[in-house]
Amino acid sequence: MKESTFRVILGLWLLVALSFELHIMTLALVGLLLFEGMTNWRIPLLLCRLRGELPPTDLSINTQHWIPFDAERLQRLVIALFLMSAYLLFPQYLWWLPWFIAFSLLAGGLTEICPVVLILHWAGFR
Amino acid sequence: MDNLPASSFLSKEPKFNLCTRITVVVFWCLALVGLVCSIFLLKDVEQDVVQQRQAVIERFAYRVEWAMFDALAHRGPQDLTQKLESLARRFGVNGVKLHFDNKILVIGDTGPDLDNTSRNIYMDRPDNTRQMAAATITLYFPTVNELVKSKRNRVMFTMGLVLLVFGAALQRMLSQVLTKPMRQMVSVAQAVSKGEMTRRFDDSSGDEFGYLGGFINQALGELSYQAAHDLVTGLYNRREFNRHLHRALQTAQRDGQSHGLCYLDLDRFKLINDTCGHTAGDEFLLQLSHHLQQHMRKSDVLARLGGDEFAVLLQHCPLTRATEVAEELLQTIQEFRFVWEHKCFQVGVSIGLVEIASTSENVVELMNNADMACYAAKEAGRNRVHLYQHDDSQVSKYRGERAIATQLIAALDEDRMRVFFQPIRALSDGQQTDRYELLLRMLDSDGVLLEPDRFIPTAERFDLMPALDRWVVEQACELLKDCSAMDWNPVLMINISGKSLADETFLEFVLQAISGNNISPNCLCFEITEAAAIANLTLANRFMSHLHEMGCCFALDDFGSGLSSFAYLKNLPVDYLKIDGSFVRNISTSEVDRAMVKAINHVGHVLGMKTIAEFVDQAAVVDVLRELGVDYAQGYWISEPQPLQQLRDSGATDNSVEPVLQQARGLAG
Repeated sequence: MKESTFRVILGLWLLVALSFELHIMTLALVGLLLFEGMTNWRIPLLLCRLRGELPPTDLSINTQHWIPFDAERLQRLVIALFLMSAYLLFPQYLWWLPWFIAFSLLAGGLTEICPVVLILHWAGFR
Repeated sequence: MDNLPASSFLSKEPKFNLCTRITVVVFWCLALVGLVCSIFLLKDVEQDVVQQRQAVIERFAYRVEWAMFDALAHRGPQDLTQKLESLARRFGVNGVKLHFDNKILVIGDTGPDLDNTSRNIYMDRPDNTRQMAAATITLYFPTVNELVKSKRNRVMFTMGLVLLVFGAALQRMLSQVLTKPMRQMVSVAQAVSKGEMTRRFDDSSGDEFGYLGGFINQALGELSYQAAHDLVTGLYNRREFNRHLHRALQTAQRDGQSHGLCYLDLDRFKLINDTCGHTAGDEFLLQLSHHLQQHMRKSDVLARLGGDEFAVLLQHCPLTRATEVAEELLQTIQEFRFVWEHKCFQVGVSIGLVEIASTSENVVELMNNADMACYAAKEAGRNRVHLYQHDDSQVSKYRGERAIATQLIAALDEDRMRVFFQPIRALSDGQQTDRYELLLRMLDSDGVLLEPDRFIPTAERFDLMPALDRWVVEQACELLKDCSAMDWNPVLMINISGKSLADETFLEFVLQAISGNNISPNCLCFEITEAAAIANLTLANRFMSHLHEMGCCFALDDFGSGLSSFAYLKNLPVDYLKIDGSFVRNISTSEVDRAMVKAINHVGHVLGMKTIAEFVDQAAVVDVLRELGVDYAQGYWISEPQPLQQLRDSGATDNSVEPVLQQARGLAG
């Protein structure tokens, strides 16, 4: 499974949770993202390893990296952080953020281009 | 070949391509636009909800007032309940509570988690009792926060979905309109860079892509043409001709077909260039090319290889027929007349003919053999056709010379050239300045020292003399610099070829060598043959005059052999006359030779020159020369050529070689 496919799944997950106000789904997503970010046991990677395949690489503008930390992993943590900020810290001001994240994940998955990941690659993350 | 010059940019796939950029711009810009629009739409949503609710209450209360009036007047309390239910549905109210005449009417959900708003209603009773009826109506709504959240969800979801679909459609459309034609152009460009020069861009569309495609196609066409054709004559160039030759060779090897290859080298073409200029030369080549094409078969391939060299591929042509065709070409060229500015020129041609058969190995070998056959034709007297044969002596000779030329170039690169010196001895008292002629030797790849006659003729034929002359001049100047440091200033005599004289940059080179090594020009003497001087008289005069004014000396070498015109002696700034060895060798036994030497010596002296006799190899010769008044002698009797290092060493040890040589030859002054 490619990272972009997984992003589509995450986007749809969040979109359903927001549309039907299923907060438990949103929190579960946050939990999953935190788990993946902290352990780097990302579902696409695990599935590839189970199949014995090499993980496919999405587009990157910079193949050189000097920070030994996966950009995809950091992306998970950033999304989790944003969602937690929107839900727990500033719900009255950041009510729009989960929606934006949901559609961004969807668009990033469909287009196979995630600006966050691109920016992190450019910054030097693996 | 066929590939464009190697370029890292051409071989790479575009990484962050147009489609990607379009996608990024479309989707993410739309996402931002959608977000901004949504925030703008939801800016005062709370206020709107409150206002909306207020309006609902007013309208609801008005409707309830009328409903109550109706109920009291006509319909009864049941109708009021129905009416209230209908109104609650219509106005989207969760619940209604009506207090009237000590009765409470409850409709819908009136739970504590709902917001409620009450309103008093006053109305006239329908029974004309002149008493006012009072009622309190309480409406139950979802909380403002819930309403706001609900509205936000609806707006965000709708906006996001619409923009996502719109973005996808837009991206698809832009891909079709922009990315697809761009990708097609990139694909064609990549194919062309890999050598598929026949590929062309699509120029059928009427937009900018079509224009660009057409423009690039035109440029590619011109590029392809220039890459395959000679720009002066329009004939195929060497590269394209080799391609045709390769195909012909393949058919010969595969199917046993026989073809002919002619290598043409024009004779006396240089005359046109020298007389009328290069414009005339180009026009001649153009006219000749057209003339030749008219006399060739359609299947034959004519190409200009460069300069005044042409090649003709006679396809499906057995050797006998090929020979006839070559003779016809010869005749055609001989009969061709070129007129330029009222001057008429006729050239000849030497043709080398090679059969292309199944035993032929490769294109390079074929061209080499044709070239050697052409050379053999030239050597045999020019203006003829020479058929290449493997055991041809002329060809073998040329092959040998080419091998020597290759060795020469390698020897220069690998520092295997050697300079020897041979002393020139004064035959009379009072002329004690040390003079040495520098002679060139070459070490072959096995370390064997080769005499000049083994490689000088080849060097002249293959235009390597200028390189050799420059090398010798450098060696001489370096030696003079070392000698000067030891306070010793011998005169070194250096042989200069006609090609170097004709090279306009050679004078500059010599001046640079003199000034760069800080040596006295008086220590350099250049030996030039009369033939070389006459062949390049203007340039020779310029070269000699300039250096003579600086203090360099000049010697006319091999005087007496060849043309030997005394007239030139008057005009050339010559200091020494070197009498050809053929007169000197037998001077002691031949009266004719003696008379020749005497005459040359006399004329030289009258003109103020010193004379040097070459090839002095006997004591008797020395005596005669001395008797005749010749100034200097050079030859094996004086000294055999020695390595230059010995001269350098002798300079370091107070010129010890000189007394030893003088004692050995009895020439002490």
